[in-house]
Amino acid sequence: MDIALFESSKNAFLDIVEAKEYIQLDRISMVYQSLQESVQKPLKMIMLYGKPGTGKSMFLTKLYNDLKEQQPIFFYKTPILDESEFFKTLAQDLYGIKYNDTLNFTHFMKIASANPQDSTPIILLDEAQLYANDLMEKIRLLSDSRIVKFVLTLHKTEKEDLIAKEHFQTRIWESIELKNASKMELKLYIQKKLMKANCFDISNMFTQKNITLIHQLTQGNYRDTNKLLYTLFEIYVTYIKKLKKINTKNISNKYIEMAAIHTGLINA
Amino acid sequence: MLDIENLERRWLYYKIEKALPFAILSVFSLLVLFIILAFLQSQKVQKIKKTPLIKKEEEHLNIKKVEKKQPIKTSSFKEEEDVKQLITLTPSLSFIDKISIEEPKTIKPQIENSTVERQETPKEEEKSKIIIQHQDSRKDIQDVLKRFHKNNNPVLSLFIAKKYYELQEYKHAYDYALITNNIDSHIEDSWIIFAKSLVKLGKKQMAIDTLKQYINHSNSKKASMLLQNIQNGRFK
Repeated sequence: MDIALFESSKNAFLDIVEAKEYIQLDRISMVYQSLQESVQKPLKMIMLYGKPGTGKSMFLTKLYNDLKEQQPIFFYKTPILDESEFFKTLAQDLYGIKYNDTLNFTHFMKIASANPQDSTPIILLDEAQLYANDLMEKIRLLSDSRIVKFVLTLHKTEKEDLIAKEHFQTRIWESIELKNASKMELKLYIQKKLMKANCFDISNMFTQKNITLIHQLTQGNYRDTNKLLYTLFEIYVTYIKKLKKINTKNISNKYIEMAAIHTGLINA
Repeated sequence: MLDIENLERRWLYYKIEKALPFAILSVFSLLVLFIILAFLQSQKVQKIKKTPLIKKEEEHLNIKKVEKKQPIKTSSFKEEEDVKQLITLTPSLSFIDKISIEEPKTIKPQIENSTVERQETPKEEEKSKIIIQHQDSRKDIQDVLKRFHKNNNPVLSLFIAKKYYELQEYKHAYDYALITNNIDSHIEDSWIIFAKSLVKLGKKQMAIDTLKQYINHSNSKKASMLLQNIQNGRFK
């Protein structure tokens, strides 16, 4: 088998959050459809939550790409932690007003009242758990005023269940949980990813045992799966370069385990 | 570029580490299984061995029984010699050899004559026999008395008491039974001879009291039987 095929397969699993990398799976599609419907409803806040690597950022990216042509939508991938900076960015993006001095919540509300919009702009905030509580409270007040609609993504960790936080409990009208993939979903995810990269032969190399092992190692986490498969194909590339000849009939569980050791999924 | 060799080495350690608990568990399970099997096997072997052992023991016992019975049934000369050997083992009774050697001499003609000559001269033979025995017993007593004075052995004093009793010298029998009892009060025969001698000396009540006292103390069956015999007049 050509080394280039393994190189392409490797690159297919680069952990990039791009709308074109979005993989259509049944459950993911249903969740996405639900998110799209929620966005059209007069909700004040929509929250996407789940463990890291479950595809929250990908969802926001996909939503942004799908809606950017239809309505005003703004996507903030990295949190703007300074309050003044946050409102200044909003004032510039929503109303085209560049503000040089400090801009607080009261000043921003005045600007918003003076510049009414035809349709409610949607603000997508990724990694919202990083925002300070004070700023989160102002975001809540802003969404209550229905001047803007917020879609947030949050990490749901075992230590800190952010959904339990007061401002989320009382204000959120819609919350969507993203979960890790099941074994079947993971198999489809890998196959679709490889097919998208035109690596059909590589896709056929995966057996059910391989999928079971990958699922066991990654718990169905998309980010971990990407990392694992990227390293797996890198191992294949290295072996082909080194040994020239390698068994390419099936994916070797040994190489999967080696990839897991390299990525830290196996502590060895 | 990945460091494949290092990665392979780490993978090998990981596999060994992963397989080690299972390997240990398997070895341990096999060991336990082997011990259980060995234990069960040993129990089976023991069961098999036990049955012939019992049989052997039974056979051995039967032989012993037969051996014990034989002298009574046959009373052959060889067995008499065995008895002699047994007796000679006790140093104090060496003189019994003389008696046992003489016994066949006296018994044999008695048995032979018993069918033919019994009706002719029975009283004369009896008399002669008693005389021989009496003379021998006297000698025996003298010998044993010498030895008794040397070592003060209660077995010897008891023997003297018995001999005196046989010779119907009840006063001497009484004395030596008492001497024996003073040396060792646990010798049953000393009490028996003592009581018998008392009865013969006409001290029946004293004999009864002595035996009662001894029976209370020892629960001796022999003494109980003698007491009964004295009380109901069988023993006079």
